[in-house]
Amino acid sequence: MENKSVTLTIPEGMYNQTQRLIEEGFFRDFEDVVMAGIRYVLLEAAMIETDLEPPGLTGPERYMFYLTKLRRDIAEAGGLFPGKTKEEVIEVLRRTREQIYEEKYAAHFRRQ
Amino acid sequence: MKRNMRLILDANEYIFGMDKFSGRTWSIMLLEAIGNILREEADFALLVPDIIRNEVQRNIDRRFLGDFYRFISSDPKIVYGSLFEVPVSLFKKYSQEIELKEADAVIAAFAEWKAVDFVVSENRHIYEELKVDEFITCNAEEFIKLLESGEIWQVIEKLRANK
Repeated sequence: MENKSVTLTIPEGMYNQTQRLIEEGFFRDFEDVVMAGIRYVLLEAAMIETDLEPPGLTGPERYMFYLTKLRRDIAEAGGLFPGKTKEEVIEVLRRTREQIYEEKYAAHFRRQ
Repeated sequence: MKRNMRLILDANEYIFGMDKFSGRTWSIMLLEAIGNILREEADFALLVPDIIRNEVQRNIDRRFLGDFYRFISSDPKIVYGSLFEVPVSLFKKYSQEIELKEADAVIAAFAEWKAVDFVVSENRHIYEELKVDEFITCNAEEFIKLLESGEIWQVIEKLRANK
């Protein structure tokens, strides 16, 4: 197998965190950390080729599988709030929260 | 230092984090960072109060509801919480003394009751105006920067020491 050399620039804090993982024995060296990250991204890419959850996923892998799937499906549908600004979406959510609060919780908290 | 973290994401972080329409936003990065934390940190809890789950559910198309449910049920470290269990005295602290709107006060009370470290929100009324000793409010950008710098664990330790 041929290898390809690459130069990597990452935030110092992130690099320091990888050193902690190496010191604690989770990874052999920095290259091992980077390889683990690349394998994870490739796994994600393979996952989004199917709609079905692959068997045997760990919790974090299931989390990433459904996050990736939701993002893809929402993008294909044109987004959740097309044409709305961030502040407008926050306002919609604020109104929804108040509506849910009035419907479900207000009586409980106000009567006491 | 023992590393553990208890976190609540506001509904807007789920909404913005699932919708790539605006590009690679801080909320997009936040949901990915949570995936990394789930994988790397043994002692982590993402708490999902039922009002936040409902808020997201009401603002996404029905066809996404199943996957959203599976997403927030994907790992045992993601934990639901019912607001009906929140002590009324805590609710009154946030609604009457701190004068939050009741719908926000109940979430703040839940956060204190569950000993949450961070409430992350893009809503300025939460991340700028709600400042208490019991938990930290910030937006996704601030949270990611703390996480990437590695300072987040010291911040949590300091928060807990000051409670």
